Amino acid sequence: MTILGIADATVASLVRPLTDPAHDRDAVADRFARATWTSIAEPGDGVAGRVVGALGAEAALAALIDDREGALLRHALEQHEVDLEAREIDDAVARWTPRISKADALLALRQAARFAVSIVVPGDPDWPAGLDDLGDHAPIALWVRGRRQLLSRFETSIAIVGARAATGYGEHVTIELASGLADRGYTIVSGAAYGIDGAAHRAALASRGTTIAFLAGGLDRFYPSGHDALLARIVEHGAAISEVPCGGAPTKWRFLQRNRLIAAASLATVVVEAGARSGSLNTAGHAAALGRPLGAVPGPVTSSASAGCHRLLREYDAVCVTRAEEIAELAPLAGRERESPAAAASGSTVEGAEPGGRPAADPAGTRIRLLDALSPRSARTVEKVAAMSGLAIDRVRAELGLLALEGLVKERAGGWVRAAP
Amino acid sequence: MKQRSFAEAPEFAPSALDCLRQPLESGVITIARAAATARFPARFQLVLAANPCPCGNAGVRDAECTCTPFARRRYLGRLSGPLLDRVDIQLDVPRVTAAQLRVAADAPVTTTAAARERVMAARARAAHRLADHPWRLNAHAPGAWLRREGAPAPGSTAALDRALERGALTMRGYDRVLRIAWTLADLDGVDRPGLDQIGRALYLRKAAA
Repeated sequence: MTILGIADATVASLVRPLTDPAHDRDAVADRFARATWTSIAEPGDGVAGRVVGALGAEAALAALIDDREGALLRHALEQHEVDLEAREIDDAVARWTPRISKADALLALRQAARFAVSIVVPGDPDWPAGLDDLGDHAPIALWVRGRRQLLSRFETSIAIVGARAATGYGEHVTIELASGLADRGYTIVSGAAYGIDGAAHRAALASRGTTIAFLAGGLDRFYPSGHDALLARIVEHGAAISEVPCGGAPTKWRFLQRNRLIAAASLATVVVEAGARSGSLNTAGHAAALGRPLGAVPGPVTSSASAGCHRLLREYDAVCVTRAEEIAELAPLAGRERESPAAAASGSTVEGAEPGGRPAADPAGTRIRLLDALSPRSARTVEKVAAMSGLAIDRVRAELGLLALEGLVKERAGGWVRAAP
Repeated sequence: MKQRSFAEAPEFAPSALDCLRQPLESGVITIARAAATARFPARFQLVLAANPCPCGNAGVRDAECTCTPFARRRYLGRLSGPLLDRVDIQLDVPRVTAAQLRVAADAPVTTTAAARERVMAARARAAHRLADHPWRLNAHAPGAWLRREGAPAPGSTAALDRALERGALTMRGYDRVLRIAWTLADLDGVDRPGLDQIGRALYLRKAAA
């Protein structure tokens, strides 16, 4: 059996490097068919989503290839009782068939292998679950360059987007927000464009956090080219994702569709600066439509770079956010997996430190024991607290230092007291 | 490195004490005159001592402080915030009572010789660790290094980051906590400071003061 006139063995040799080598024949064929679909259907093609969802990527592709008039496909869809109008199917077949190309499919896969791009399909353990909310418009497959295992971090991700023509104010705020969120263990998602996007990625990288970029074109060539170096760093420490195969150009339509992935994959979306017609308003619109929390950073009312943000606040029920803390409230991490990227990377966590850089969760109960041993009124010496809590003196000192920084304990003449709440 | 001790520090003119701020940071004193600018090496360890109040009895059990609250405030207030921000370790030294003297006679004591041994070992560790760097002491480590290559174990700076964000800690204070944490790590014989060392560094610094 062959797919697209390519023998099974060849398909396997092309696909295996891009995915788990343990996959069986069907899994490989499915991935190959989905990869091909990404070059046949434009991102966000709802008909393609339904057809692939109903028939399976391989069967749908085979039906399309065997009969380029679409009769086979129509028949198969009828059998599966897929409710699509005949005209919709005809239109779709008409726009798909010119794109069926063995050469393009081979090129996309070979380029992918050359640039260490892998392919992720729905149902894979690292498939971003948020994308399923897009329904028929969910991507058929994702191309990933960089650290694929970080895709699970979408569960703790926040999108920070904004205008390319950002002001100094916008970039400053972006850096503060992104590093504050990265410190709290959030993954920063953005689009690697100039301006706000770039600042968000850079701040996340500088804070040794995780950052993921969604690109509108193929991953073999970075766009914008001025962000080559930044994207190389993102790929080294994080990941770049596209639903367009290698060789695909970043077109205007693909930018708009790329925005829906940013909004859907993240827990919440924050727009830092956006002009009245900025593309980031499109991302915000997707977030709002998907019911994801939406934040907007206010700016001077006289600044045209903030006009879009102000519109989001007025018309889209966006929440006014000014600090990382306020964004964290939009999408609390409580109860979610929150292992810090750095800690996971080095495989070491500090005893007593909440992985993910959040305030210590106190697994050993040190904090509670220490606070119990303190009184709000009478000051107690470190030695006494150590004796009462049953902790080593050094541990007591270390914990007191941290608690004092958070304002939970205070030193008074002759010892330590619990601070009044 | 020289050591400079100022007993009864609040008795010095605040302006004189504040002149120490620049050499404390840079290790150099620069004197500019019309004809020339001279730079003098000034790496020193500053030790300040102060009574809790002008009469010296505040906070001492069984002794009465005769200072007004205002006088007490003003006395320690003569040590400016920016100067104290450059002080890494603050220690309370309570007055020794007769009972403590009796108890202390039985308790194990750290001798100067033993302390010296620990310091030598820690310094040797630091020198070995910093062999590839132009500085030999944690006190001389530049801030950029402390926050990048020399950053503490992942996840352990969360409390510091939060405090910096809130403004409870200055950037200078942040770096100074990391330097002390490195010294504690050298004393403990661990490869990299973690939450434990940072906590103790904050404790020594009197973080929230």
